[in-house]
Amino acid sequence: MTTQTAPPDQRETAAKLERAEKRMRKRTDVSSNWALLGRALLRLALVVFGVLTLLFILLQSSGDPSAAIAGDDSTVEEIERIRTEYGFDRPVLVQYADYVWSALQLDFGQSFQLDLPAMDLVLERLPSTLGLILAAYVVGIGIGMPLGLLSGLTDNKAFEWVCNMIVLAGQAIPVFVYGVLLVWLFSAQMRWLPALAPDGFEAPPLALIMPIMTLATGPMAWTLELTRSGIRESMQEDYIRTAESKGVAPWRVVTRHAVRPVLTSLVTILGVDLAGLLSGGVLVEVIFAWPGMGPLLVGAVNNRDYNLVMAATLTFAVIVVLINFAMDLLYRRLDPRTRKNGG
Amino acid sequence: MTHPAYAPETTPVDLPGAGPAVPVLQARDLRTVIARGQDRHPAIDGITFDVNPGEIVALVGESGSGKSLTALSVLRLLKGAVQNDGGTVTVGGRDLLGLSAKEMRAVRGSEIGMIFQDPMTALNPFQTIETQVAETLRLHGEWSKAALRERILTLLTEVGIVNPPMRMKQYPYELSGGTQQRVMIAMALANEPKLLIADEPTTGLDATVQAQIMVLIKRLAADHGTGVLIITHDLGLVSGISDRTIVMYAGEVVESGPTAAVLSSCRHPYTRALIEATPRVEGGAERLTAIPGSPPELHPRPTGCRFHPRCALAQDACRTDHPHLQSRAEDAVDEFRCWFPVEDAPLGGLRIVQEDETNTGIDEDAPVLEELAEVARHRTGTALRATDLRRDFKVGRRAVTHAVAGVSLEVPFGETLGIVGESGCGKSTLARLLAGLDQPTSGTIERDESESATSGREARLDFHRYAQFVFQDTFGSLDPRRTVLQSVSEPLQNLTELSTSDRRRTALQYMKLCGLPASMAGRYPHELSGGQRQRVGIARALVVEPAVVVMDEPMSGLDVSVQAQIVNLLQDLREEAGLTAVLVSHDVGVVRHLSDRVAVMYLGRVVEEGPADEVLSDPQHPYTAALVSAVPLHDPEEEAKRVPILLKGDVGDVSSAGTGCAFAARCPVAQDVCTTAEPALVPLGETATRAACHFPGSLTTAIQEIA
Amino acid sequence: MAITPVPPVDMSGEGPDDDAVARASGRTAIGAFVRRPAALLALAVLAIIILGAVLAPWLAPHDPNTQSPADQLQGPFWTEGGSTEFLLGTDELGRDLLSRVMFGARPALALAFMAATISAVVGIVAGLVAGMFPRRVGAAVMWVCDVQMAFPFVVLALVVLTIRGSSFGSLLFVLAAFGWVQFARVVRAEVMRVKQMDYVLAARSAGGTTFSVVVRHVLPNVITPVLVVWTFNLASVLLLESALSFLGLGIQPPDSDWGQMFATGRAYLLQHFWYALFPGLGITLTVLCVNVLGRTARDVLNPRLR
Repeated sequence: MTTQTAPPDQRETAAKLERAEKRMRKRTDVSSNWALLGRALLRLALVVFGVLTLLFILLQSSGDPSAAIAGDDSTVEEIERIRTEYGFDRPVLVQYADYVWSALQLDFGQSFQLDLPAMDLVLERLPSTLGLILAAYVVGIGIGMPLGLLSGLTDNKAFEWVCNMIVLAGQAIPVFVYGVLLVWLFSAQMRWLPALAPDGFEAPPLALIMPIMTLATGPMAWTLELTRSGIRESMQEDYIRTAESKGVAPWRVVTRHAVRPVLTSLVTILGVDLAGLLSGGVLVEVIFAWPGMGPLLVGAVNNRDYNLVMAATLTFAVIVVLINFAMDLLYRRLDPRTRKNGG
Repeated sequence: MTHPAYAPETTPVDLPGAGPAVPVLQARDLRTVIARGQDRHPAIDGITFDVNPGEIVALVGESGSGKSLTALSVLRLLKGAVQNDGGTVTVGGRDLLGLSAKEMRAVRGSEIGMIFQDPMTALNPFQTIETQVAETLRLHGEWSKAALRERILTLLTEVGIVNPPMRMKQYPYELSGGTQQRVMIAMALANEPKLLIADEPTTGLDATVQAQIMVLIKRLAADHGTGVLIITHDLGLVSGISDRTIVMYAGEVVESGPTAAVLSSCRHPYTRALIEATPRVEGGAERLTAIPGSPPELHPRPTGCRFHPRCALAQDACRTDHPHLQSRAEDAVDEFRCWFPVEDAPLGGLRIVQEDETNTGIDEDAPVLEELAEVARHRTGTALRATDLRRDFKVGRRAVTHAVAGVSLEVPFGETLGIVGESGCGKSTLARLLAGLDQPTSGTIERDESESATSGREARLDFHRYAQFVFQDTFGSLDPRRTVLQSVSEPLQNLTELSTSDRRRTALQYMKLCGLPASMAGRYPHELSGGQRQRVGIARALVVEPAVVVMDEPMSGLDVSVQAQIVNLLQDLREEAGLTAVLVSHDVGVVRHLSDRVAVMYLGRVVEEGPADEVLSDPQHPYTAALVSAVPLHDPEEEAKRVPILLKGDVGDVSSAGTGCAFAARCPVAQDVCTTAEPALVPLGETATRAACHFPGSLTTAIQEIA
Repeated sequence: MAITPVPPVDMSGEGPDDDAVARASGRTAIGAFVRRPAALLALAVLAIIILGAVLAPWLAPHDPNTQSPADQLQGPFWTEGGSTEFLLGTDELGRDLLSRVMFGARPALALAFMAATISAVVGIVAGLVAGMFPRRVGAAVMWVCDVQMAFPFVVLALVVLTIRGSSFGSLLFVLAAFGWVQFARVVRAEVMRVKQMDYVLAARSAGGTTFSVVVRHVLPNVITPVLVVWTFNLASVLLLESALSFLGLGIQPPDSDWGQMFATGRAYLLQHFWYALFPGLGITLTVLCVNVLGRTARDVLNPRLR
């Protein structure tokens, strides 16, 4: 910050942009928002397309899966039959086109193991996984954010230390170690909580505690840290000083003014974290026998259930992409500077 | 069609209660300390001053003077290590320093309003204007929805915002700098405070916008009887707006009194030096007084008089005894803090400050000086000729902005061309084009024929040997990971065939020339002061002995005293080394001081061009006239007589229609033809000046008729 | 006339930007590091772990794969039934836990360091290219990043490793592939920031070629964040590698690996919880130390050299 005659030329481009924007805005005010949305959707489609392609390449690179599907002690005829049945004998591009077309219709064929449509199996388990993820975020952010705010705004050394411990522990303890630890403590030793939750959300509430808490430690740790440093930084902004000079009470200053930028960075990180949390979710689901997509995928992989693997993997990826897209939109809502101007 | 605005007549304001006016603010022995570890260092050392209703008091100083802390102290907005350490601040009959936090919050925004320096960051970017103004109203009063809206509209109109209903719904980033500052003023005055504190309210704004804000503050103070405390470093602002002035240095008041007295017959050497360090738009000073070194650190402070290390008039007593404030009946100023006050004398007539390597301009013993001068002697003719230069930028998907829209200029060898204008005029873009840092969309730049022009990379290198650039942002233009020596010698590495030891030697010589001792060679940019960094930038530009040096706002971000050092350095380079230069600046005074010729730019075009003295003392183009008039004169009496020209709105508020004169929409004397036909830049009569106007000189005539 | 670099804590905002910036140059970053006890402790512990792993063939009391059916599932030497022969106890096949833990660190650490470094190199190059040519190439690189990041790591690893088998090479491939995206993103952002700085323009005006400007000015200024990312990436890879092992996709028996040991130990949690404890502790401690070092690096190196 300079107190000297800071040259207004920094605003030169800004002023130019402003004038041009105004001209543009007069013509396309209504349509510009739609145009932005359209462009974002296009990007979304491109990523989904890339996701489909990557998966296809991965699976193709493993060579001909017919032998694996057929099993170890199958005859050559059986393998050949599977090859034609699944269409692995066709040229790659044809397979690709067919694959993309079917994928868009959510048709992944039948699960080899269970002889049911693969996608149906996945969709059946989808809500459990999504629910778990959502619960983990709600709990994690619900605890992490208030703690972070308190920590960032106060100077209590003891409290700071506790928060540091939470953050370090949350980041260093692997999620599966943590899960097993909780099981050992609360199921094996104290017998307070059931060790498994095979009914998912229909299980008694006690069974939900450990899976959700285990998964929530990750978000809790980074939310705490992010909020803590974010609020400290945001309190240094000039407009905080302005608010204080108007006589705004300290608590209001925080909630009405300082919190906003913290929220925007939270939204950004959440999008990035999601894939990681889904990863952790698979582990948690395995440990607690949660009826989600994780164990389904693990089983499919072990059994070489090609179609199911495709369906499940793709669903995971699409979840990530869609939620990231939603976060993007949310970010625009939160930060007015990104609106109307192409971000 | 408006004629230039006047300062309105001051209407006496009825104050509640009988008797003489009570000061709105009474600060007595105010003290502030900064705690560092175990130590508590005084930042403000007991200052005392009053602000009366309707009076505008300016608090002037440089960095470390404590002026900003004073403002924050009044409102008790000090944070962390900075704490209040005593004294009283009486507003409305109560000592603010004794109030509880809750009581203090009731004072802020209602009895005292405050505006800050950078309105873009001082406004909450996430809230609309309406929300922010409403907040301050609702905090201190009960408002129905309708009444609230009404009040906000009234406020926005009163501060001169056009189309308030639309502006209300907008976000800060959608407004121009001037409009943002008006919003801040509206917020500060929303609850009819008795006192307005303004911390550098016009810094960073365009000159013409500064003039508008100045007039606005004056009018509001007069209309509402508000006392105003302005914190500033800008003596021009002081001259233009304040009734009384307090000069601070190193945490204490060194002089105070009526502004006219302080500016024309001050007693403290620092005040005088400060005045002489500021370049004047009306010209006249041969050489600025550059105060050596930098303002003192917080700790340790010099013994005795805090100014003595930099003062040429210091005597033994000054080194040992700390002077107190004294008043003498025969002085026009109220008080000063000096054992040996200076008497009235013409500007430049006294030697006030010490001289050292930082403020003696260039080092005249430097051997390269003779080399440079020699080379310059052999160069004759035109150094740069730009013909119909254009530079377009794509904005978004379809729109194009014409940053430089057809500029033709010539820079003869040995001359300095000053390019002056406000934000958005394209001067920075033009500077980069001239220095070869950017390619024009169309148009040509020719240089002296004797430098061969091959194609491709070799041509580019040639051009860089020919023209070098000095950047505006000293921090950003030096690689933080490279030492001073490395930065200065880099051009030699790429553009010459010198050996490593020769490069080192040359770089050191140019550093010496620019007042940087060899001991600085191994330092990193963050270890240097702003003035030193700028010298490094200048040395780097000179090291390949270019034919032309293009400088973009080389003085920005520097203290007034340090700015004068750089100005003197450049002046010496011009006079002793025959430097050919293009100087781009928004500061008309600096441009006048350093340039032979000046070109005034507006929205990508040159609107007037000619010898600096002529153009700036007798401007023909209305924009030039407005620009020059926006800078207050140093002499308060002359300034009071002057009628400022106020333009409508900001540069950004009015978009150019495409046909006709780009300035027509804001021009006070525009006629019909101005909106249809674009005027060409043509010579005026017998003079060496060119102007792009259908009615050159008409604004000046109009003013004279009114005055 | 002394012009000291340390500015007063002046809220008028004059002088060099940052008090911290002014107080130290790059050289004393190491000095600042040394002054933090937490960092030194973490460094010491990590050094011990690494040394233990590297020197395991010489330091371990037993061969990790030697089975001893008679000594199954003994506890650590301080418990009942334990002996000093097997300091930390034995597993279900009678193998010495201490030796297995020491040897189990080897693949984990080796994979982590190698994967982190490979992804750093790939990511830096990708980020540099994406940052220097943001419009076509950059957009393409970012698209690839987005696509890859859409797949949760475990999901992708499940698919890939089942196809390719869980050799050291495949694991390395998967772990390195996970990390490069982070580096690419950070480096790209830094390059785009630095590109706009005037000193880059000044270097061009001093006659530098694009390549020389990148090497001399851009690269040194983007390296600092890379170091921090590398440390955090190391921690992530350690966690992921152990997670893969836990799922049975990592290093295969009979070779020991912490995650794998933990998974097996889980079955014996009720009676012989230490079996899972030691490998779990090993992972946690290592990751903790790396995290502490990473944070210290981040605090010490930033923002002063920006």
